[in-house]
Amino acid sequence: MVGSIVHQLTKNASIEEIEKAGLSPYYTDHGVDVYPQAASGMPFNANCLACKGDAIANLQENLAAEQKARATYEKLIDLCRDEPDVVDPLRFLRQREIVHFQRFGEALRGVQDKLSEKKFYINCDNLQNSECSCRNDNN
Amino acid sequence: MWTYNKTLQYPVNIKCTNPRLAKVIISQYGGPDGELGASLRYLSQRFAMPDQKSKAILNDIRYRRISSLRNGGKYCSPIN
Repeated sequence: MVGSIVHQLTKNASIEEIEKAGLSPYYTDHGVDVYPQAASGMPFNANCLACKGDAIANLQENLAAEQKARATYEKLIDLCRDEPDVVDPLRFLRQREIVHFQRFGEALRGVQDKLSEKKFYINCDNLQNSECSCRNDNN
Repeated sequence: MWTYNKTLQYPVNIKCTNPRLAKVIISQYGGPDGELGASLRYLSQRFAMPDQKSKAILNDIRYRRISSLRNGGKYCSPIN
């Protein structure tokens, strides 16, 4: 959807319009293709992936990311206030960020419950007829 | 395993071109808080989640994100 919004906003633009919008550097490198970059012109960077190797940290990161995406959509809606054709899909996407935030909250609660469960450990050496094949096979 | 349904997530029919807006909206495509980064992050995180439910939620949201990134906004839905 975001790709098609960008595409439809630029597909029949004249060179004058592109120059006036300050898109001359973009046009030089990418024409009117949809290239993954930030509004500032910085190309997509995997630094924003933020995988920490810890379920709680990851989910909290995602909760924050959903809120940041919502805030970005709200700023875009401010900037597009005169174009109802653009604002409608952006509103839909903004609402979805809120739903995703709630679902991540649900996931976080589930993970916290799982991690706080009592743990029981069994020593396989004391069990007769143990089904633990890794010991029997001498691996 | 997959069916391709040509239904839109939400219709996008923009009548007037406006490169000025395209210049800022592209940030949600490949910017730091954009759809591309979010979908890749959720994919990378899902494998090590301790329970099945959070794995499913991450996968589900990742999938919706990648659909909202796609040109045309078309929706490809898994059967399984």
